[in-house]
Amino acid sequence: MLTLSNVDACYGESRILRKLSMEVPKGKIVSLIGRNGVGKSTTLRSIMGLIKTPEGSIKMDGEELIQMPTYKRVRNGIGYVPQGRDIFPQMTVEENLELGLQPLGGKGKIPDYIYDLFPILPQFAKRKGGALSGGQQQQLAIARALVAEPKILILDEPTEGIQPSIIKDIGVAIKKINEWKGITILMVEQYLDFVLEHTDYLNVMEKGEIVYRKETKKADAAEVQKLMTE
Amino acid sequence: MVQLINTLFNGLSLSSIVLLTSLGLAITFGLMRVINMAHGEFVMIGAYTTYVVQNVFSGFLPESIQWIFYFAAIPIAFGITFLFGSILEKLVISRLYGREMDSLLATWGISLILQQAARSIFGTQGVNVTAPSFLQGGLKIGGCTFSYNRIFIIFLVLLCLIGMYFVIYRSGFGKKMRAVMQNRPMAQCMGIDSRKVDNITFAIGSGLAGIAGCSVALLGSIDSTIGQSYIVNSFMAVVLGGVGKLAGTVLGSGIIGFSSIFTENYTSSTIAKALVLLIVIIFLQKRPQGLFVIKSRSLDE
Repeated sequence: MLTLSNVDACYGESRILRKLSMEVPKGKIVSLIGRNGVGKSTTLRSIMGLIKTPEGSIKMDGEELIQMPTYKRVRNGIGYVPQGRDIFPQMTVEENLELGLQPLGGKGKIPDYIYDLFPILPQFAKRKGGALSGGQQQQLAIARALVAEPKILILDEPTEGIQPSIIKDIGVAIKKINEWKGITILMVEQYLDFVLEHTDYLNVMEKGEIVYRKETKKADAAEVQKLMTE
Repeated sequence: MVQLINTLFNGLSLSSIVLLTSLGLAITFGLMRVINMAHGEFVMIGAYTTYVVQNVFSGFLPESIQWIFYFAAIPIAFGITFLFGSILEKLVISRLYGREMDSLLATWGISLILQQAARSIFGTQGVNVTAPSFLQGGLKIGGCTFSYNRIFIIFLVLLCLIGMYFVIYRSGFGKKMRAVMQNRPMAQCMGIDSRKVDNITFAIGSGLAGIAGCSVALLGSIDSTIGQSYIVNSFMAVVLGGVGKLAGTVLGSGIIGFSSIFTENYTSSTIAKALVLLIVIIFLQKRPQGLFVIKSRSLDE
């Protein structure tokens, strides 16, 4: 589905990713975990084309993305929920969701299953995005990325700063997205219990490289925990 | 009383002219944060377009319906300045996003080139547009006279404002435009081609300057420096109103227009200009963000 091969990524002069290679199998939920600053979000931003990737290859369904501008990658079927949500605060919830139709040329309507997943959103349709709580914004950001029914959904720390009851809802929603629509999911996460409960594969990152990868059910939680805290 | 009403009308008229020349800037500077020193020259292009359309129409239309030229000139001026704006954005501005001083210098250079081009094409002497007959003269009520062309400009401004409101807040393109201005990387992550949106947004701002040029062509002689007379007031109106907010530009233009006319009544036009500038400087010292504040991310790539 999504294959990264020997990807380097830089912020100015500093190289954050070093020959990173990773595979995200079709229809699976894959996580990328690790301590702060090891390059997890940079990996996602590289996939989105938001930072420079001078070396390597990023392919989706065999198609090379590395030279493609961000908006074309999205139109090719990548949905992205960034760290901090980045909803458009001065637009209403409805307008934020409608922006999700852009990969389809701005036409069509918001699929009903979005509201089944996040029943809170229709209640706030006319409210400004910036007026929502953190958890509601996270649900809006995920819903917005799903409107165009992407092939792969990329989530950057979906549980960050969210209260436990909403984290549970988000976990359920991620499972449903994967099961109902067969959407492949790649997520960066720091919350290990969430990863162990909701993902099929896990990858641990260290200094811009992947140092551990396993099927989640076969992974040694203690070893992963150790890698994340060392 | 008559004098007060005349002063109020003149204030309203000047405000509407400042607003019309500021609307384009409200987009290019207010939303995109591009300091386009050539904005005044787009006003000039609009004014000269009106003059050229007048001459072309007078060549083949009977005199009785020659007034049509003016209504043809408005969309033509918009189209030509839209095209100029699009080309300028593509060739120059797009390479200078996030480099405000560079874009200021580059567009200043372009403004000089455009002024010289106008001098080469139309000469150094001013040219005139004859207002359609029904815009000549004025409406007399009591002892007050309200000139038709100024009333027309007020309506034209209202029309442009309504048009802009619909484009920005009610159209699909406006949604993309607001998304790009609020959060450029995220807008790209929504599948929006932000470069294309930048180009069209800048072109719309330039097109509005062209319409402003059509209106100022009714008020006096057109020469290569006509845009310079309006550009300072326009920048002041946008900054005073609060960069990035349309309502702020409307209010800012009102303050500039009315305060200019009122101070002119008690002093001279030169002192009035200095006083208005002083008022704006003092106000911005106290409230640098302007009258309205909007959270908007600049073109920082």
